[in-house]
Amino acid sequence: MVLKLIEELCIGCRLCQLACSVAKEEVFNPELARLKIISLYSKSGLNYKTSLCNMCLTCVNICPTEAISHQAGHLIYDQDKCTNCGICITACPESVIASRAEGIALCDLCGGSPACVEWCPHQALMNQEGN
Amino acid sequence: MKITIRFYGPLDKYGSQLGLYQQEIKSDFTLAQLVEQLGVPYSSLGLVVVNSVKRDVGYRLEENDEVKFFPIIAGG
Amino acid sequence: MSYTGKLLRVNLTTGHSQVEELNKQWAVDYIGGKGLGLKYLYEELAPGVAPLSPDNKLILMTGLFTGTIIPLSGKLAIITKSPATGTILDCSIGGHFAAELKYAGYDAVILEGKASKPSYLYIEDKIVEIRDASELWGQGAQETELILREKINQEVKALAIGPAGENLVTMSCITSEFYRQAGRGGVGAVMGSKNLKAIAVRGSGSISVPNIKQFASSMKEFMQTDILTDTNLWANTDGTALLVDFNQDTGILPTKNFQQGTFDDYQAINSDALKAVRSGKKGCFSCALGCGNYSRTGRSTVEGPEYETLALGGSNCGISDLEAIIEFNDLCDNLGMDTISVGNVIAFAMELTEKGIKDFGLRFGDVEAYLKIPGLIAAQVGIGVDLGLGVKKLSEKYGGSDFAMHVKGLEFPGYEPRGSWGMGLAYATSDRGACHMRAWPVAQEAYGDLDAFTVEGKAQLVIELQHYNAVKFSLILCDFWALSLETMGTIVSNLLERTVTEQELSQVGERVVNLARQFNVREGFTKDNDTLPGRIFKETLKTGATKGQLLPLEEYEKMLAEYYSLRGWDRDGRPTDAKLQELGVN
Repeated sequence: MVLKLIEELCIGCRLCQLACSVAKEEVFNPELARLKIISLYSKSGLNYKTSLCNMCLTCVNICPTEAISHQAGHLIYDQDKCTNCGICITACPESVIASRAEGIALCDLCGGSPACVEWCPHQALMNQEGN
Repeated sequence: MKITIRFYGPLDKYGSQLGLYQQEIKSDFTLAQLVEQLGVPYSSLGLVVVNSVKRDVGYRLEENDEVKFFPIIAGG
Repeated sequence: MSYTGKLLRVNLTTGHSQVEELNKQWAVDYIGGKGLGLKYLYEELAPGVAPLSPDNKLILMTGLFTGTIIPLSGKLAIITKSPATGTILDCSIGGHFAAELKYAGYDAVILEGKASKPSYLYIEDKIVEIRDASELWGQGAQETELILREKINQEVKALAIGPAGENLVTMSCITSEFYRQAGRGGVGAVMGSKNLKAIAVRGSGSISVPNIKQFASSMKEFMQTDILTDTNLWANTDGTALLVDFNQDTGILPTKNFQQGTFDDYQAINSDALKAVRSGKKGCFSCALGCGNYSRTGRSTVEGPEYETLALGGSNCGISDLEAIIEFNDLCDNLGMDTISVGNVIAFAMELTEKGIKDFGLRFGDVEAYLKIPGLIAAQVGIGVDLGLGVKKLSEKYGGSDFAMHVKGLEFPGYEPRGSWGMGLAYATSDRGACHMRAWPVAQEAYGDLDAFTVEGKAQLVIELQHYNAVKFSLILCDFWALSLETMGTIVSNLLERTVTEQELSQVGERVVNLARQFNVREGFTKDNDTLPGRIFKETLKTGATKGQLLPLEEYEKMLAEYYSLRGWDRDGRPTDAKLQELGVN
């Protein structure tokens, strides 16, 4: 499974980020979301800045303690194995992984049915088969 | 008899989704009967205009009428 | 609960800023947004303050809903005393600024005084700085935002003014994200008078509410069953441009300075025409609808044009060239001006010219001349000096008051009141002059089942709608979610963890309307100001569904008297002591 955005359908409302911050952090704060989708006007048009886990598995491969694994179509993070080394944060090409006081925060697709996808009002964000 | 129909905005799904289209209907047909036949929920229906005149659903349709269905709208 | 409980007060004269506790009782009585902003202004502003003097204040107010996952809660209220009308003025602006301000930790910002040189205000959580804006001064509103993004951070959220605001044009607006405006009444000039070019904010904080997961899940339910429905989705499929067809068919599309209610070339400027140049869509923070249509032509790009621009800058100027309207829109947006007022003043000048009263060299349908005006007004050169006065003052200078389409100095929006008599009352009694966002009985009269051409029942209708909108803009929600007061009550109750009934909310609305009225009464406004231009009472419309219609003066006066009486106001339109006491307004 992998998150996929269709930009033409996205209105830049950030409900996906709010939904993520509720599901994962129990607050409203789009900055704490494990994805980022914003649309900004410039003189050349409407531009999207996105940061979505694309299941490249770089973090899984680079983690020295196997704290991140890929099972049943999504990532699983085991905090007990995490040594807070921060390698995954630096390595993530999409800058989706963030540091927390204890360990890290990554997108695990909410275990299979992502809150961001459920909230997207125009089906611009999808959870697709495959990776 | 033949009439022309246009649905606006989100109501387009009850029509042809091509904008203006023609439809054959029985003679002696009211707007209410047409609305029912097209499956438009009354709760979704705002302004109805026939030949540029606002009409209520009791209006009896005539040959070549141009019927426009507008959604309910708030704000402005 | 979702107030931060903090208010940031910035004195631009001294450069001093301080954080204060939000007045809790006022937050109960007026909720937030429009209502709470009005309350602060009413309490803090001495009567008679000149709107463009350092003594005026500019208040940015978020609301109970701001920054949460409640859809369509992204708006910010901006409150001040209007330089266009001298009345109380509140505008609401979309985009992402309001939520960001709340994440920075503030429910509100009160700006006072005047900076000694061009400045912008930067807020990043606890950091509050008044910074030099000399390189921004003179820039368009959009360039200003781009420079701020470049200097600070691509994701900084900003409010900015264009050259029109710097030059104190009383139809200048405040802009955010290129195409969102606090449009009306000259809020931009108030910023300009304070030497304040922009306000930029970054916020990293979080907002908590009780039982947040359950709350979010109930909001998702509302989104599916009450927002993404046939009743609201017009905003997504078409946006406000859809109103061109509505208004053409109901005979209320302002045409040639409100001389007609239909426009022969309406199909050149309607939503269908606009779809051909649409190149994207954008919504505000937390919006599930997304009414912003991004349009591109060979010459310009713009988000819109909104209905109001298509009507006032299009049919009302006799302009049927959509590309020209888009260019007009783009010019006004970057210069930082309200397209409604600019369109109106051009149309008025066109009629003055055609009637031989004063020759501005402007004629209905003359695209070339029309496109020169926004630049002249913003720079205050040539005929732009006169046109920048607005319709009211221009008519006082040259005549034509019968067809000077304004109330209290604020130009008419795009709904012909001769085809919606309650709308006439709504314009006349709106707190900031002719406005369609204080009450919009057009939906019931022109589009709905009510008879548009009677005053029967209209006073009561307008009152109810004014209360409804006052609550909505205090929460603060976008007006494009057609939700019931009961639904509002449910959401408010969940947040505050006490039952707030729809009656209570409606009373908040009434309190807000009465406080706004008290402000205006204190400024010297009377019944004489609650009126409409002579054209509405004297001239019949000649085409379409409103052919042969005017709003008879005696009928209007009957409706106004009934309105005062139902409101518990005296015959001169002043709230009675008993009414104020009942509402706790003092």
